[in-house]
Amino acid sequence: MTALEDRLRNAFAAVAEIVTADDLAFEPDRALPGRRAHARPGERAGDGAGPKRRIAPALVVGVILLVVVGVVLLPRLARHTSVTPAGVTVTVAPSASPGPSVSATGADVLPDRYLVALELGDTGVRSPQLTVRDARSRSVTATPAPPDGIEWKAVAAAQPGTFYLLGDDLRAHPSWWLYRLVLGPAGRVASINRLDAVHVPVVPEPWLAVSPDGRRLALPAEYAPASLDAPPAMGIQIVDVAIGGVEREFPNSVRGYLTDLSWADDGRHLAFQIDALLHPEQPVPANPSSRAGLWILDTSTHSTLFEGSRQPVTGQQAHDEGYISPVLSPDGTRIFVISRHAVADGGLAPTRVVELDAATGRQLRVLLTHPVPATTWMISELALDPSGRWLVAWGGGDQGLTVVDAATGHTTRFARLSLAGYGALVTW
Amino acid sequence: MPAGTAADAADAADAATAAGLSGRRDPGRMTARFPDTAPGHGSRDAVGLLFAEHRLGLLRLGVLLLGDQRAAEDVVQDAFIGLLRHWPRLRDPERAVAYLRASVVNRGRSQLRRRAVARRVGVRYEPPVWSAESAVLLGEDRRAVLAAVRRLPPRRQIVLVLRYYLDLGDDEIAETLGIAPATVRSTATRALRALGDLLGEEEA
Repeated sequence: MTALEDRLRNAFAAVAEIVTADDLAFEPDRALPGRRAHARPGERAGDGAGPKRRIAPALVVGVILLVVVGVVLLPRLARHTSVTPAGVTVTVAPSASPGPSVSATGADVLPDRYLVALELGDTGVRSPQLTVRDARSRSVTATPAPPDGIEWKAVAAAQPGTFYLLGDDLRAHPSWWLYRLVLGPAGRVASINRLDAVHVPVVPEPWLAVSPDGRRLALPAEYAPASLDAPPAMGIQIVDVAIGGVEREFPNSVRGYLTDLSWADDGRHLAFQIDALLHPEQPVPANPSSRAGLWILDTSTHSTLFEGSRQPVTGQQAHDEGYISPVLSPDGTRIFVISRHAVADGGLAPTRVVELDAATGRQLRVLLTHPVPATTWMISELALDPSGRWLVAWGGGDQGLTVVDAATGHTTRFARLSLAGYGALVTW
Repeated sequence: MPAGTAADAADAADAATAAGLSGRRDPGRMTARFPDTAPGHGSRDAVGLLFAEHRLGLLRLGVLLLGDQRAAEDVVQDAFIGLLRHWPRLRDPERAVAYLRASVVNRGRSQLRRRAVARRVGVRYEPPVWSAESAVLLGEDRRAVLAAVRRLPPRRQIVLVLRYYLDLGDDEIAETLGIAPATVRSTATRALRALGDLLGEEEA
């Protein structure tokens, strides 16, 4: 045995011994049926819910900030100057096009579609939960449960009423499967089928995008695992949904996390993001990767990932600033994205949904600004309906869904999701 | 559950391993016999027995994987709930502890993965139990080793914990992770090499 192995054994044993039998409230009859039954005497059930414990004070601060921002700071922020990570100065001002207006109802204008949200829950408190909502009535029409032993990991919309889900088989290691969810009348579940022919590569974070015709699936693939000092090298596989085979592959050897896949309506161009925002617990490069940013891949090419792609937005920072969740407009000319850039004085920064020119990366409009500037992303997920008009944004700050009419800038508060914790993925 | 010869042999082997040269820290027997495997009360008794016997060990495993006792408690709790739910369909109840161990590892890994997405909504986690503020008594060297392990990719971390904490053999690690024994060996080799480099750099 080497000295290093000795040190490992010694360190592991020392940590394990931190947990002693005294820490255990051994009451199996009480502990087994309920998920929080192991709370120690004096703790409220749910006290240990981790993120939840930090949400209450955050909400109080949020409310105070909301008042302050509304009364004092908002007029100043309207002309505030931001500095992008790349050092490019961008004047963040309300859109020149019709400004956002907020509707409390909006039922008359929302599309006749179903919105699917995958709430990721919180291990030990709530399992991931999939909910289907009628966009007009906002009522939950279905909560499709996964098959036994499966946990939903990601969701993407295809044609109206058809959605694709990634399911993680908790009994296998690691094993992801593709499922097709078809909705019937009134948004009820008509069927959920596993597509056994499709091999889903396991990557650090699950993402998927279905082409507008529902025929092809874009999946991230890992070509080199993360190393001590660098993220993995990831590319894209285009899979034929009907036969399950890899139709085209875009390999890559440059390291960086690949996320947020989004098709244009032509079924040819595919937006994706390379960053190191994910896995901050893993080592990330000290400087932003030269490949970091938003990319658009021409899937008709036979090339490596970056040879077949162009980069409208460059210089994304590795950590807490930049753009996340890019969505390509159906015509491929614009990118909708969540933006959060550090303000020049280093203070709290607002989170926004903005529209970028897909060719140049130039910011065209600000569509939505979260009212609370913060040190984190107050809006974290974004999805566009196939018509290219309706954006739905989800924010961890208040767990609320907001629908933005990209044509008019009209904003409608839609619903709040029920689970706190790890976030949510939305699509429609 | 009638005790079979194979189960006896497995018990004996496990007991020998547990008490033997490897100094294995697996919490108790790898197999267990239960009075009743029918759904309902019997399965609760059986899982309750496992809970009493293995909860501490599995919790320690969870803490080593996640660095966070609360998260580890949740993961272990979930593993037992999963076992209770699936007990009637468990093909080989004798392997229940192996199932639980794999479940803790898998759920822990799933949670590590999900943390990445959670960062977007500002979820912050407790500092690892070996961080400076929560483990002064661990000593600098141990903390340095643990911090270096934490920097490895999740699969390498898990292989090291299973090998050097639980003293599992390559075949058992392979079964737990659902990978080939050869992959376990190569992963462990790479993990040790990377760890050595990292500690060397940090010590320099």
